[in-house]
Amino acid sequence: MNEIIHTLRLEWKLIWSRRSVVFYLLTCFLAFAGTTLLMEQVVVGAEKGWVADVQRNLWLRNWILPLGYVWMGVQSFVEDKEQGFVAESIVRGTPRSTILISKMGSLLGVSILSLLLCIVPMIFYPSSGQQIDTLVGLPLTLLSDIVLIGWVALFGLSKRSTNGVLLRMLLLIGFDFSCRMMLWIGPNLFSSPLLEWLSENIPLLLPSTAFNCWMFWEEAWQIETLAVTVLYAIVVWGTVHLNWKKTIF
Amino acid sequence: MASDIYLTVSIDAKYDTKSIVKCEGLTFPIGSVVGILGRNGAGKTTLLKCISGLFPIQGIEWSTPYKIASLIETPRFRLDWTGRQHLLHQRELHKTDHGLVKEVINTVGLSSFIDLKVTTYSLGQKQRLGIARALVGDPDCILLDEPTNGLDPQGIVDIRELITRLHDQKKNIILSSHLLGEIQECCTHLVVLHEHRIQFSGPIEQYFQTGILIQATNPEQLETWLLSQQWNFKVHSKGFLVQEQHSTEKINTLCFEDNIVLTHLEQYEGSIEEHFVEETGNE
Repeated sequence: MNEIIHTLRLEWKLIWSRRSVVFYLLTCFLAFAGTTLLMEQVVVGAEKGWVADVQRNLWLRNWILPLGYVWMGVQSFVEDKEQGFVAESIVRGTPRSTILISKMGSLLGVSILSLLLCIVPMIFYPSSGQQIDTLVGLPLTLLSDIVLIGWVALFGLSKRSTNGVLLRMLLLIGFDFSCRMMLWIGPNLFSSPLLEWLSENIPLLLPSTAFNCWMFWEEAWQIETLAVTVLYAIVVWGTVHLNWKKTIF
Repeated sequence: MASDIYLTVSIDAKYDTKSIVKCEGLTFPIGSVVGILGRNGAGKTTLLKCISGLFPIQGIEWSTPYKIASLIETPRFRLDWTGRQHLLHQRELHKTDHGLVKEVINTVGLSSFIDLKVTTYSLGQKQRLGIARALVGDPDCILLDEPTNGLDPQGIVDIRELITRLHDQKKNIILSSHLLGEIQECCTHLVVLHEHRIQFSGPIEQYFQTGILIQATNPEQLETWLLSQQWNFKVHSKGFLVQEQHSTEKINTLCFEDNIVLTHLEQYEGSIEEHFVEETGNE
């Protein structure tokens, strides 16, 4: 346990030694605070209160800011490997699984901080409404961040350069987006029961479902979405764990 | 396991299904500077990676829990960090004393540029920083992969002196190189890898071909005469290498008595280079 804490502390320091984390969190804070103030004070007719604010900010966070989070994942999994930090830990005798856990843990720490920044700007605005739904959105966002970083870690195992991993991430999202588009358009162009069935069921299984609804936020509240996200988390991290143990650094 | 052995290696490292290093019961004695020699692709780096744990494989047995450090392939750093930041991070990783960082900076000769960003470092300076980073963990055994690669002549001499100093400090060193002179000057023991297998391992002197090198005006006559004497000898590029406990004077006298005119007669010490090329070069 001490070994995990020691490694986690070092990983946390490594993440904070990069400017990108400060930039990411600052962007989160300014974006959330700005949106909150805008909606509460300026935009007439906007839904008011912290529930609405949190939901808006989560939406903003899950649409735009994951790109920054992906970049931090790439730095942690690929740059650390390129710059010899992972090799140093392995040679020292730190178990590989401990290194992996500490990387995941430290990135999750950043994710939690960014979520707190979602909430902080609007604590002064009282609200009523579907508070439970809003609160459920927070752990779901964390879970999706785990999946997102899992993909980065997976690509980082086979690709040595940061550009290679980023390109793979973009290709994954592009592939996902294309599939969704085709499944959406297909049944309108050709009348086929099979196509309709695919159009109804396949989108839920695509990777972006687990990316905390980058594309379909409203589905995040459904139990199927949660199940698919959990499944992706298990499969992606399970694969990363198995390959991490076998990787030649 | 003998008490003077600190590491035993018995591995069959494979990449997919292809064997890339195979060795059985290779041992590393305490207090030695072991040179791993081999042609490109022989498996030197892979062997070091196996020993350091970077290539995950079974069959590496340390006689006692050893602290190891390594500098494998090109040293890699965060370019926006200074040398000191790297060493402090390493100190924290290994939980060693702060004083050790200062000591290592002096040992490796980094003082004048330790607070500069790594992006301004030359290859030689990066190599030194890599070694310093390895030393901050206060290791018992240091693995160095081609430590003089890309260095200028002065850099090579400096690294060689540093290795000697570390050996004096009772550190075990395992270094790989394809520079034969470097191995001959620095190492006490040798491992020769050829086509992913161990071809030789032992004290470096045992690898040399020693004996008396002779050549005559009529080589065929000399060879027939050597066979008739029932002596151990080898055909050498410069003549015949006689591996018997005879003095040069005695051989000269015997040849003279049997009407063999020698054109060359010398006590031959040999070199790693000659032996290595002879053993591995013609395949």
